[in-house]
Amino acid sequence: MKNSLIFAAAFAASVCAGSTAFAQDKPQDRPYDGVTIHVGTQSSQWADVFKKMAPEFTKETGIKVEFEDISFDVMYEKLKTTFIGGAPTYDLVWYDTMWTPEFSKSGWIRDLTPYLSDPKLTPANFGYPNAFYATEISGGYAKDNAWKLPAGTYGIPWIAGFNPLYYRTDLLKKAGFDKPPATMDDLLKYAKAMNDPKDGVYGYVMSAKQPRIVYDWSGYLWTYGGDFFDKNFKPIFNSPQGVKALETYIALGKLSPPGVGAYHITEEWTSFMQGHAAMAWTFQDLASVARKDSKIIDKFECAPPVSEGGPRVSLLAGITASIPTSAANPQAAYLFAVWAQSAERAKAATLQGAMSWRKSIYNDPDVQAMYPSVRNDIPAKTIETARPVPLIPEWAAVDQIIGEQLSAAFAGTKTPKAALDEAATRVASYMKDAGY
Amino acid sequence: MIKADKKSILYFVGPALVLMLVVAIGPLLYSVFLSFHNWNLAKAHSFQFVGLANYLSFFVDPTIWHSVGRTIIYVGACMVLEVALGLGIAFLFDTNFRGESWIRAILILPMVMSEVVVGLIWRWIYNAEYGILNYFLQVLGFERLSWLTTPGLAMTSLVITDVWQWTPLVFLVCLAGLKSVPQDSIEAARLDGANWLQVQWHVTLPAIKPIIVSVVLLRLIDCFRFVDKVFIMTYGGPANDTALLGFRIYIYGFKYFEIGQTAAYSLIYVAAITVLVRILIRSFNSKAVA
Repeated sequence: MKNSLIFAAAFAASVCAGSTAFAQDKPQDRPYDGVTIHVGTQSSQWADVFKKMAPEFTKETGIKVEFEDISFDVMYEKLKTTFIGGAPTYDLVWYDTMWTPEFSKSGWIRDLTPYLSDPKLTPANFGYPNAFYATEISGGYAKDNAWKLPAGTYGIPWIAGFNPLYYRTDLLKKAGFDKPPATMDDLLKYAKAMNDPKDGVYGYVMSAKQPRIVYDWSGYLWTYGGDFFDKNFKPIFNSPQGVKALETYIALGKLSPPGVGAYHITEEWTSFMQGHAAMAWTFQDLASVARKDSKIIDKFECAPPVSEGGPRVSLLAGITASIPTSAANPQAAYLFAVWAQSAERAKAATLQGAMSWRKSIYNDPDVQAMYPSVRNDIPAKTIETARPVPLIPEWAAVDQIIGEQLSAAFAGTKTPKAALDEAATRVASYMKDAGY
Repeated sequence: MIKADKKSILYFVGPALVLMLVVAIGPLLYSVFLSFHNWNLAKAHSFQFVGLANYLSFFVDPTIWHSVGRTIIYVGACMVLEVALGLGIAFLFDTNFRGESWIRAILILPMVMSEVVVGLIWRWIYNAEYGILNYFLQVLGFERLSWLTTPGLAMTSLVITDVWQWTPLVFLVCLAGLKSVPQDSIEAARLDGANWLQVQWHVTLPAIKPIIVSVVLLRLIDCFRFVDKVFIMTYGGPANDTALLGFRIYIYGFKYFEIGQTAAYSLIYVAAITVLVRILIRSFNSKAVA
């Protein structure tokens, strides 16, 4: 009897121990099994890529992913009101890098430093920050940074955003040029030479839609040696360099398809890929759109941006992935971010049209075959000297003010000088109110 | 007995009354409260009482006055075109021609679409490079137009879109009015020798005048708070040509996050629309009495 009791107790203990071990196994492999994360994403081709990949993540981890598309035009106000309200609407957000400074400084997004140092959440081979480009604009702020932003990691670099020059090789040759333009004057000269609207081809194409126009114009401003602010945050974009940059921008606009003043990048890229434009100074992933229907798939190449004697300064931007402070499932959301930006997934996403900032993909032969923007020394000559728009929390409002005036000059209702002066006056007033 | 009735009435009306107070009157009063304060939603500790400063800034802000001017042009053009076309089509459909019911069903389709969808569809129709409108212009031998990026033309494009979407509403309401005009009055006028035009002018139009006034007021209020399609199609551009007042106030609220200022501007806007509507109603009423 005693033995049978001992046996029964031992059996019960072994069952309990076994079930505990099973229970412990499960959390280690799939600790968030059954959790649903909500991702707020800029409505785009990039988001669509990750939507396709998400079921695989769910299969591996048991974490379900639900997406909410948000149009770029309303994304800033949508996220900001959600953050201010403090509701746990999103566990992960993908948004334009220009808003990361404001979101981080306001405490609306989490510092991911503890997650990055947690081996249960971050695989050893993730490689942040060294394995990625553009970590600073994506929310990786060093201690005592120039922008006075809180030190920490407020976002994972998600979608790349650098600006090489796309050009049509066949049209360049036809116009008698043997190499891509090297200066701003070249850019104008080439665009004029290749501009043939009667044949359905324009010399250039751009995305000058308000509120895109400031982003699009910034590279011209910097290339001519201008800038948005001086070191005391006083606006200086109405300098002679700024005026020259706007004059060139407008001149190139006149060599672009009609209506580019209403173009977002999607329309700009589609125009180029359909063979309607000879050149475009735009984001690197232009070549990922409309590939199936494109008649020019083997007739374009990329070059580093033009320069005016100084460095080749183009726009550095992109999409950042951040976890809101109010997120209900931050760890599960972080796991998805890390999973999606692993070397293997980053390459897969890039080949589907969502180019990652992970450095390893830039040397990949498959990626290079698809994107001329990563061939040869283009990333080195473009990314390393590129610049973001000022990393200040007030940028969204400043962008709105400058954009209205650039749009006025672009439409021809104001001279470039008058438009920039007006914008500078208003920005100075806004910055003063903001405490600068 | 009477007391008991009043009590039971309160039981029935009470919940709705509370709901109204919470969802309509409460936010309105809160807006009035906010309008006297300087409050940037994005800045901590920015909330302070500023008296009438937000209201006064409305009258000295040049961008606001520019938007007021653009709004008047937009609303005026939409109202004239929608009422004229809607009424004209209603007269046409009042003749009971063959296939009328089918065409009527097709005509009202734009009205049931959301503003955002309409904005997106027309953005592509107006696309200077691929848009169907420019395709037809080219086929007919005309130059392509930059519909949404040429000052002046962008406003026209917005008006066309609104007329396309909302003329069917005016048409439907007017048609319902025409169908309800007593036939004996029309027949009496005809017997007195009135021709078709005289019958419509002296009999039909006065009979449906209250209906026309109602639909005009509905459309007027709707046109004033027009923001969605501006957002989708032009974002206020080019050169603020289509920055209507509703859109401008939206920018103050959701780009600059100046909540106090936005509340004051919105209240001025609502008050102005209310006064305008009252004036119109009085004007119609006094003419009706005369």
